[in-house]
Amino acid sequence: MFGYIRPHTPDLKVRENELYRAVYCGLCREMGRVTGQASRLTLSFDFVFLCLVRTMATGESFTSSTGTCIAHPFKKRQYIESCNALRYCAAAAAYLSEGKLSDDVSDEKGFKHAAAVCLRPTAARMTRLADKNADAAPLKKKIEKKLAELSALEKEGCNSIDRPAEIFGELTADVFSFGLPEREGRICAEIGREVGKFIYVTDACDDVCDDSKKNRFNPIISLGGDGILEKKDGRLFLSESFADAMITATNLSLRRCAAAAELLCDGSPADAAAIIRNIIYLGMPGMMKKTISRACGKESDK
Amino acid sequence: MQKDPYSVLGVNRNATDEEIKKAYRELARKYHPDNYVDNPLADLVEEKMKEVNEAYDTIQKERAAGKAGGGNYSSYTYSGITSFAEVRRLISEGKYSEAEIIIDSTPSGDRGAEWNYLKGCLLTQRGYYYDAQKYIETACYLDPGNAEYQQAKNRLRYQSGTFGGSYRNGTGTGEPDCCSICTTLIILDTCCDCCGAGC
Repeated sequence: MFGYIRPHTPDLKVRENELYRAVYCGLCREMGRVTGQASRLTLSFDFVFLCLVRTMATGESFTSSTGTCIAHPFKKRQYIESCNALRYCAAAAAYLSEGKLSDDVSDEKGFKHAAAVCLRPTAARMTRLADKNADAAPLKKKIEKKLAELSALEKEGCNSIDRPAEIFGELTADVFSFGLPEREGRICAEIGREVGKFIYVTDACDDVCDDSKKNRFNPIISLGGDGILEKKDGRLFLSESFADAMITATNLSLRRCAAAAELLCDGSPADAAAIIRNIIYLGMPGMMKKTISRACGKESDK
Repeated sequence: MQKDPYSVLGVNRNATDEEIKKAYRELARKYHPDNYVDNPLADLVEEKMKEVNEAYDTIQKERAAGKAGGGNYSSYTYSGITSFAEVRRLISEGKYSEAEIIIDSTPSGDRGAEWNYLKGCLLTQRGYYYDAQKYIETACYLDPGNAEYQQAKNRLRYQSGTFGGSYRNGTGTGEPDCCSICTTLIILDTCCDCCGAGC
């Protein structure tokens, strides 16, 4: 998706970091196998988080191996061998890429539109392979439905950022909880919902300055209130007060996310749980702070 | 299916009574209902807490050591006597969608401070934290002397400011918290009252 969901690496133990990287490599390989070589280019950190949450929910364990790959042909790297969670993540990534692409085809103009049209056959092939190799075909319909809902709301204009964020959150809730038993499904849906909202809001803050310059759609700009954007040295930046409210809201959302994740973490393999905690308690707030201070025109201190 | 009480508490079979008590306290703190106010997974947490309580009970009984501890559930009371009393009652019973219908159908002329406050509470419950802040802020602006609205505002600030605090202290990364200890304590004090008004 966007790569906003990642750990704060300096606070990971070495073996936790190794596990994190091994899942990343394993997912890359799995995408090559399940949804075709081209799909490996769409890999992002967000899906490593998804994969870890899913394995904790199902209680599946990892087997690791070492080997070389196209991206690292000389140095052997540790990776996680194919498993249900990886297969599911690869399929989910393909469905999301396709959904994003069809969105671009209908919403974007100029170069981006052309690029999206050109990439369409590749994406279609990815989802075809995903349908064939993973048991998650109904997920595609759910994603398409939510994306359609989201783009309808964005077109009609909305004076709340929480509403579109929630729709995107519902989409990711579906992705996180698909096919899980009731209890785990609910927990993962809650984690997914907050993660989705986080991604939506962070992405909006990340793009707000650019979008206002190029007159593009951005959910923060379409809030339309006073005091959201302010001019500094002839350029538009996010106002401090809005940034403050945004950070408060994000922390409160992450509190919910952490509350749900704690229910999964107890009794799960310690390393996986430690990575999840690191991502939610440090990685995500850090990412938000960095993005916000950039949008406010302050050079980030990290 | 009965789970092993020791693994529920995450302790060894030959852990000392002290260690068991510590593990139990840690879990009870984590799953305290106050941490899950406005949380849709509250029932799962309650389930988990029950499991923890039972495990602790079983071990205590096994070790023939007196009484068991239980979660300290606070009861919520409301003092609202205005026309919004009904909304407050519905919120206290967890009937949020019904409360929302009344709130959303209130004519704009009646949307004063209390309306803004209750709307903010409902949005908090839904996780619309950005919008919730706006409404609660408006409530405070319209009725600056009202302690309840001020507490709701402080509570959101406090919860946001302390997010991840225990995690950071636990791993000792030494990142400074955005609230200093003093303000935290003051806010905590006001929040204690606020739990009673729980939105």
